[in-house]
Amino acid sequence: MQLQWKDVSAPDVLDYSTDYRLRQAAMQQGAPAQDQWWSALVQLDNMSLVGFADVLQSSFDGDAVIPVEDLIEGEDESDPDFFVKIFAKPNALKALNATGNSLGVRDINLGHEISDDAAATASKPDLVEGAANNITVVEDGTVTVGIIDDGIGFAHNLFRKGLTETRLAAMYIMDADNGPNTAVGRKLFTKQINALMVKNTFSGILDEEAFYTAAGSINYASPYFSTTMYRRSHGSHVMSLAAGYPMEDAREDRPIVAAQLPSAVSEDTTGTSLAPSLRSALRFIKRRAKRIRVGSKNGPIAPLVVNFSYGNFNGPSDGTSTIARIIDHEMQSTPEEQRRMVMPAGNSNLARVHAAINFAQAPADHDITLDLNVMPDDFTGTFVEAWMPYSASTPPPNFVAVRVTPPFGSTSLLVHAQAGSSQVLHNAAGEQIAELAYALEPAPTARGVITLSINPTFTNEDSVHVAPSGRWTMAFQNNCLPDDETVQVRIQRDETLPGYKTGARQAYFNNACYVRFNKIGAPLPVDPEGSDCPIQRAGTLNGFACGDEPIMIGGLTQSNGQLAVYSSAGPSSKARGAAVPTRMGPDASARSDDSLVVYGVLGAGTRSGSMVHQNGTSVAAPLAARMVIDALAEGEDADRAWVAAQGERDDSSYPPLQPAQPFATRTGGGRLRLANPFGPQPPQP
Amino acid sequence: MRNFEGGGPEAGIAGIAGIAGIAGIAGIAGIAGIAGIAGIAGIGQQNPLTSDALITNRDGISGTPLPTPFPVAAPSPENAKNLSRLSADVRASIFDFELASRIGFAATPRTSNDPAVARVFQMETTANAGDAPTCAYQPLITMSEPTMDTFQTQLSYLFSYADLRPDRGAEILAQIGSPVAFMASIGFMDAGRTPHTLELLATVLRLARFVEMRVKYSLACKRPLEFSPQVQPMIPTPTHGTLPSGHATEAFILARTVWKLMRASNAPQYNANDGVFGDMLMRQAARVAINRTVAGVHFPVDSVSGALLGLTLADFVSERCTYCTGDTGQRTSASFNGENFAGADDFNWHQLYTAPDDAQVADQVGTDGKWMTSQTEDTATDLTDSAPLQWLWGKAVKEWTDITS
Repeated sequence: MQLQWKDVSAPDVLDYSTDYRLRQAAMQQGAPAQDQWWSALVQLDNMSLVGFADVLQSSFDGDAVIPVEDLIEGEDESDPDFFVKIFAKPNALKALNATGNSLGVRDINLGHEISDDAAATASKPDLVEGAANNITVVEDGTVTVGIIDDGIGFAHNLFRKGLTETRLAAMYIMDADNGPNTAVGRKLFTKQINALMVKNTFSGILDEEAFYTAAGSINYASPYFSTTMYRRSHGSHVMSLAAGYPMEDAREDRPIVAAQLPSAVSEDTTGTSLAPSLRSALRFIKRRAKRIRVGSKNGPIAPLVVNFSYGNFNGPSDGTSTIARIIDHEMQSTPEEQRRMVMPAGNSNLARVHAAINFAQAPADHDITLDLNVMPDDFTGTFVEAWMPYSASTPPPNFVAVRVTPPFGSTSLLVHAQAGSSQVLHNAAGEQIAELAYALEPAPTARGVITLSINPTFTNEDSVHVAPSGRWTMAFQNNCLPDDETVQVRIQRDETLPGYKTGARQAYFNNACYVRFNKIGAPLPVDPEGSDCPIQRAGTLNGFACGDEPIMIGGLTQSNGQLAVYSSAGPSSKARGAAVPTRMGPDASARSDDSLVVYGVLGAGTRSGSMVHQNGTSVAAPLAARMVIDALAEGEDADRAWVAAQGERDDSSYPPLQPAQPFATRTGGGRLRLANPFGPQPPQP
Repeated sequence: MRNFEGGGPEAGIAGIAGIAGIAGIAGIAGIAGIAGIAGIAGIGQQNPLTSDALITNRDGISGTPLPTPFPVAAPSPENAKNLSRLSADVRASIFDFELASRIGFAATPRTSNDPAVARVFQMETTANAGDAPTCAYQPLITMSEPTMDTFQTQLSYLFSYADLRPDRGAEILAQIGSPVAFMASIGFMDAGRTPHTLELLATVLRLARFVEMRVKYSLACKRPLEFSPQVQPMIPTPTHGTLPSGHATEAFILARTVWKLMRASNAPQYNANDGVFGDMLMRQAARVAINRTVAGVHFPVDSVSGALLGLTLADFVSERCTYCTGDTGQRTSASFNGENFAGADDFNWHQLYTAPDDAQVADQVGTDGKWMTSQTEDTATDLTDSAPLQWLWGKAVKEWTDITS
């Protein structure tokens, strides 16, 4: 394969990822891509929401709309974290993404592809939710549980209080076909869920295939896909650990509000398409939680605890990513509304997806090289981001430069941390297969990033131009990186989740200096002391959860008290102007495997009566959420500090960590001792 | 079962019996009873090596012919009590005669205006003092082919159900043969405990196959993989037509027959809780049928028509087994109008049957019109009954009755 680098100028856009994804879609889908609707979040610059709606109307002739669900009264439009959700076609998105546009947009974040039906119904008022305007009066000690996940089997007996009585206050299936109301998916409230259960119960047993078909969770008549089809789904399992109780012991004081993300968003493990959907999910949960009040219809709003067991590998990882900011903005407590957010630390500790470039110990003029192993048979792109440290100067200094060598072919010219610096790799036919480009992520991140974007390595489509799999190298040249700063290099998450069919395969760094195993051949869960290998376990924390609000939970093996080898490690990166990383590690760690033999933790399958094992920090988070929920109900603060203190208190009941490891970066405050609600109970210390 | 050797619901794949443990009937033997009974019969049958030994043995001990004959009572003709002394495969032939000889068939070819129709009849006879019985063919099941558009539309179900293959793979392979094991996980069946029930189930399965193959052959509907190269079934597609689904026919005739035995037993557990055992048996049958769509060898409409056929045949069998001359019997018949079944509709057994009262639904109207009817009427009181089938049914029901003292 004759590969050749071309020197081109990087696009002058507000958001590089949005631009790149739209260009890829156009290249792969051809002309039809121009008519594809997308969701996106935009940030306005001295522009009101109403004014922006007018701009869209007058500029794009119906090719960009603000969905009605997003038009909320009383929002502070001057808040630096105020985002507007839009549905738009590529022509509009490109115009909104242009640097210096006169449309009042200062940043944009592309979501996922939206159906024509959803776009066409975006302006319709949501009468279903509007009509569900009752207030539920609950007793003191009630805490509302919010769940955002995929494939939620909400009819499972663990979420019912009777044969045809749900414990859910509301269920939002965000991408269910809803005919004339498709923009908002399907929203079901207690009454509707109970009515569907009554209708689909025969001889005293619920026909769950019929129930979920009627609810819109599964639809075998269409290509619509959701993991609710399977016996095992992430969402059912997670929700049961946070809020599942046996039907005969159902809890009136743990009402549930759940949002099932669009499958297209869940399956995109990169996380780049998540933001608009996550924001809608959080707002739905908050709106419904406000209707659950203690004592009387005008009583105080019951506290809300949301569990969101999702994670990514990339981004600034300093709490300033769009997702982190949305979570902080939406989940901040107010005097009237106590809110907690619980999230996992991530499972990428051993994934070899993070490297830290620092030249303090390197000889002068010595490049630091990363070997990047790009997998064959990867149907999706591979993306590596090199994040510069923050600098107060404008433009920021040209800290480093990067050149890239593909498995077969020439080395690129250097791409510098300078506006416009870019290289594009062409195959023998002159088609683009990779791109290396610099962009500045605007405030509040205010850090530069050099992104290497590599095309899929396998395809069945003529329109996709494949890149070679194998060893790519990225060589970093020091321009002016201070000795006490690092460039954080992260590979985007690129996995095919169980049940999904994206064909994604995770690339990883493969330098010889990285020690994978200990002396007896077991996976080494911590970076060897004194290692100067740029590839690190440290710094793999879930980028979604690096903001201020999330209570972040690592995973441990209950039977021996050791941290799970996959449980990601801190610290996160330093945010703008900060002297220390935003987080040193998770807030605490909790059960994510019962034992080394009995992996995972028992929780709900999708169908009533079924239990399945799943592991990962996705499991530890909802178990900790259950603890937080109970503590809030008893009047504890149950915030990050409280959880860390609980961890510290419980930790002494465990044997010491082997090997002794940088404690705070993986365990957080300490190891929580939490029961498995549906499995064997832990031995008493 | 010797007389149906190599036969199973999917005889077309008998060649890969290794993968499948082929065939409904072999499956029955496998789980249970029939092989067990054959084993007992085997005591009487002999190893060929024994014959030489018996020749020399007789020479050694029989002695000279005895002078007087022994008193031997005359046999008892046309007496069902004889059945218990017959080997199971001999009985199977008798039961098959009693059922299959009552089935008639007629086909109407497709015309430019009307679809091809297959009609199955039940023959009712009246005894006629030793002469040929007087007989009349009554309707049993009428089945017309769906349109090609309906099958085309249903392809989308094949694609979305294919997503379930990782979940259902083990079930699909285990169900290539007969699903009796799956019914036995709901109703307690075992060769030692319920030999006659298993014999009855083998009998109804043979009848189901006898009828379904004739209807499939007549309508000759094409299989999913003939409509698209992307179906790619995970098991070999049988060579017979797609509609009605043989697995649906067999699963539903089994489910309803077991449920009828449970109800007839008057055991309290089977009659409590609003018929939940019946519902669960039907769920099981539906899962077997749907798994064939997951596997990529059947359209949902095949399961709809197959379930209707199986449910209707189950009623026919139980009537033949329980009717006594002098009584008013019940005659159930049903009709599936394929041209009125909307391609966008999935299989839903609740549209055909309600378990608590063991009753078929009278009719169903979809977006394209009325696609199913069923009716149950009284018969004359002087029809011929079947003592062998009464014997089998009675023995089977007793296996479900609680032992109280």
